[in-house]
Amino acid sequence: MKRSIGWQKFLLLALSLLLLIGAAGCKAKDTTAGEETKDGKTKLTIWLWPGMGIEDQIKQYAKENNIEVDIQLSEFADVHSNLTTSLAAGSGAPDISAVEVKGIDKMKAAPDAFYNLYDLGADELKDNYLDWKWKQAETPDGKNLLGIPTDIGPQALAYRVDLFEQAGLPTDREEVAKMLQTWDDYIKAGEQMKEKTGKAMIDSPNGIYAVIEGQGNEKYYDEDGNVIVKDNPQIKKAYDYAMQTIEKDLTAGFTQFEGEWGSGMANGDFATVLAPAWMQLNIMNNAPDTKGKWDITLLPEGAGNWGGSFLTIPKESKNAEEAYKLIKWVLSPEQQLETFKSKGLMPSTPGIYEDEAFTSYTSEFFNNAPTAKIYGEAAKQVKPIVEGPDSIQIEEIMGDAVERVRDGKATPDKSWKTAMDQLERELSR
Amino acid sequence: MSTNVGVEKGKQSLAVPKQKRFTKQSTKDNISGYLYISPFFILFSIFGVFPIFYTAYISFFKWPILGAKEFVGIQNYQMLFTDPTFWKALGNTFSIWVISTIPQLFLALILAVILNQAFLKGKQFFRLAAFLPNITSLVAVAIIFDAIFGEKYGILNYALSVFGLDPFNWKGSYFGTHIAIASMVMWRWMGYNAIIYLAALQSIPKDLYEAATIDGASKTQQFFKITIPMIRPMIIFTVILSTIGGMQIFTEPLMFSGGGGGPLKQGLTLTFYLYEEAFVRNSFGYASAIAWVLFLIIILFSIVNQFITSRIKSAD
Amino acid sequence: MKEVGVKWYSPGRIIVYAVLVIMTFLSLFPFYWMLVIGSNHTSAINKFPPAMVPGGSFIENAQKVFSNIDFFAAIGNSVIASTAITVTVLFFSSLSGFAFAKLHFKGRKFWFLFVLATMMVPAQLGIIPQYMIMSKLGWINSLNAVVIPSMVSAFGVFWMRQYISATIPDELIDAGRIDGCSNFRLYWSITLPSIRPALATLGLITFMGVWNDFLWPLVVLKERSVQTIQIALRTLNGAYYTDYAMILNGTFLATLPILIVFLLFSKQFIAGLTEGSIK
Repeated sequence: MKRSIGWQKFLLLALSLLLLIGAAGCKAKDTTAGEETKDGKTKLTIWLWPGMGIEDQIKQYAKENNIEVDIQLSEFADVHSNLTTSLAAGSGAPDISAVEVKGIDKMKAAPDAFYNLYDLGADELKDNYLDWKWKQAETPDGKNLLGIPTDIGPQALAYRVDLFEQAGLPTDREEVAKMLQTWDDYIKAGEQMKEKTGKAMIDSPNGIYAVIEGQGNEKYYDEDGNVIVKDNPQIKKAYDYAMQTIEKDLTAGFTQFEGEWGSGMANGDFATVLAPAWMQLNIMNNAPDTKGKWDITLLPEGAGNWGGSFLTIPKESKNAEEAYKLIKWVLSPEQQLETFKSKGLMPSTPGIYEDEAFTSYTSEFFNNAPTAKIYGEAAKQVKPIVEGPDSIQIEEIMGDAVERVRDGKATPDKSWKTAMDQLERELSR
Repeated sequence: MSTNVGVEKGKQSLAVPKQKRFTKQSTKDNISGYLYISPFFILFSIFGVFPIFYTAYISFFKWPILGAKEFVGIQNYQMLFTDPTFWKALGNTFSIWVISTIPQLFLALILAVILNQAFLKGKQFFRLAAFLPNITSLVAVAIIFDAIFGEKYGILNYALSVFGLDPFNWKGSYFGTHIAIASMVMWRWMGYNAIIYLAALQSIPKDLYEAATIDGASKTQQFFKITIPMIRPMIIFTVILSTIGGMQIFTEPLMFSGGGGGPLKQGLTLTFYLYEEAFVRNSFGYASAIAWVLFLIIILFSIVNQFITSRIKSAD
Repeated sequence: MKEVGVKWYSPGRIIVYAVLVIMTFLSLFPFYWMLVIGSNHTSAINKFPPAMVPGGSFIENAQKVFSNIDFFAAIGNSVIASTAITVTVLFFSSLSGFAFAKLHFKGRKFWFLFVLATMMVPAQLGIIPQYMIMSKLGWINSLNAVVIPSMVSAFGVFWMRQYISATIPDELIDAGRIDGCSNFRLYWSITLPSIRPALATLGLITFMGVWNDFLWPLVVLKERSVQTIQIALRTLNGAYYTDYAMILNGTFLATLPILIVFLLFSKQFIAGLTEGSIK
């Protein structure tokens, strides 16, 4: 029993230490919205995720305007779930929170949880931003505006020059764009690719599906907010092309962002990726050895958009005016140009697409393509699309439908029917 | 001094003679018993009770988290029982639980016995190694299992091709997904359970074995007649915990199958489903109903478990 | 225990060692692989066959980690939270476990089942109501929100109760009573010294559990200065692109402290299991 005394002493010591810590009080840092610091300075709490590239400008603004900012970085998904939790619980939301485009559709179900930025004077800014992007943050009736646009994710076609050459296809970006006027052209080129090189044309059938469904005038919802998936010809078209790539064996069958997808990219298993602007980073980092083998051009039948975010002001904020002023400045065309120059994020203000710094930008990795200019053109082609509160859910159901066929678990017709049944069931509750 | 030599379960009142100067042992036991268990119940009443009742309350509402609550009675529960996704999730949960838990506990016991062998050199090292998977970060684990079970560049399919077998789409099928998730669970928790068994094995008096050896009992006999009965409380402990853990399995399927549990919902478990309903689809009322049904399933299951494990004991 | 007639190279022993070597390999590999990727460029994951030896970018990746997060402060917070929870869990759980195993108070069966039942509540749904409680208490962005609710665990109570009832014979308790021990002394001087293996195991499991937990902490710890290491590491994930080399480097660095603690205490912890046996 002698040996055991050490243990007990340890326990006792540790316990008393703990009480000490407790007594000293791990005091909570009060960081909820709407605080003022001791010297009367306004303090803004701001939630962002890493890589948004606007922290420096926020700090600069705070310094110049004599306010205090507390930037709290969390992981992308965590910012959204934390915001949801705080809003549901009714406390703890910040003065400003970033929200991604998919998240904003969910938030639109509860516009009362946020300041209507039109009330704060956002109308005057409207013309600075891309129309389709602006509409994403508007409630369907157009009366409420939840957020001001940050970056966008217009899509273009990233292709492997070397594989195109082997397949006997044109390699110059202008010529490739001319050859690929329609998705039928794209499929035809894909067949040639398969025949000549044995390589797949596209990484995943879901890629082509997602792009085509976004190229129509309407996607899942009509203007009145009704779900129209079943009857929208554009959705059917997107699905059919995705099925074609599977039937004709033009897809490499990967799931995007999974580990293997990166391996396939590095190994040159597929000749094209339908890539939003930010995907350049993925390609460059997943397959650094393919530098110079890629080029970028416009997509067939118009562009699409994938991703991009907004800055919102939750209702809990007591400094909405100050928060709005900060947002207005940080996301102004001039500052978005700065963000583009330093971080490469695609601006949502078309006015600067003509700027010299913008048009002259070329990417060495992508065969010296003027990527900014191409993405700028793509951005202007994007059509405004009405999204709804269940958009994420529908997107997942449709994506699963494509994957089931890809994995050989269902015929195209059966998988489509399964998806429609599921849709009806889930949206009814 | 109170003399309570005869203290036996349930018989104290007979055995304790009346004494004036001392409180009765049973009263003392009552006081200190409740005092000693109070920390748990105090904390639970502060942090645990409210969420449980809140969840029960919310399960009768339609509540899209950010909007207004709307009372719908038992509609959520009615929908639940006709919801094929729920039944699928239930089936997945059981399937994954069976293929991960049963072999896992069995192998853990064997591993514990091996680690307890007197002749073993480097005991400390091996015990450390057995526990290591449990402290390895899930991020790393996810990336690695991705690399093992990939269809095109997976290590496992590569191994199959060496034997002339066709590559298998692990992620795209029920069977493959369940096997992959179960192996992830086994990898993380087998050593953990082995260490728990080991702690129990260490407490078995060595003279029991010595006596048995002298009596001519074989190793196998000793294992079933001494080891198993002696560590029975610990076996029950791990069985119950694995059941609870298995019914609530969440992180592994989420990491392996991604959002929604895959195109066939092959990786969607009950907790995963309730998480998706609550935080992806924002239907908090429905998610609360799932939570309560899940709660009842676990209780039911633990009772069945208890019944089976007690039968094992009475068999010998 | 000497086993007569069994040579070191008997087939049984060879199998035993073979099994252990395989197990060790499987356990160590992911850990090793973290180091491999953490010291390479991210694209090393995408090679086929993948990289198997450490590369030369360890320092570079580590610098990225340090510049992105406040690594040491986060480790400090994790140490505080894990230690505080482990110590209290050990004390309160063994005390409750002792009461449930050895004290014959009224309704103990019922309360014990109650403890078990609390483990069956799925944690995910508690997040919003718990968050409400924490914000009422003013503990958002305070380690209190992580430490205080976890000071005693149902798991710990259950474990201790099972262990104590399996290993401490009733006669020992009765003998203690004859000697005039109070209930607390029965716990402190008789039970506690005899359950060292169980304390060691529970301590280890609790410490690791807190260290790796993120579901709850990430909801309540948003302020950088109070974040635990797992939460801080999550902010290494970019929204558009994930730098696995940097993340695994950070993860590797974050595992080092607990590995060291583990190794240092392994004598007391796991090896202590052997000496700790009471008979």
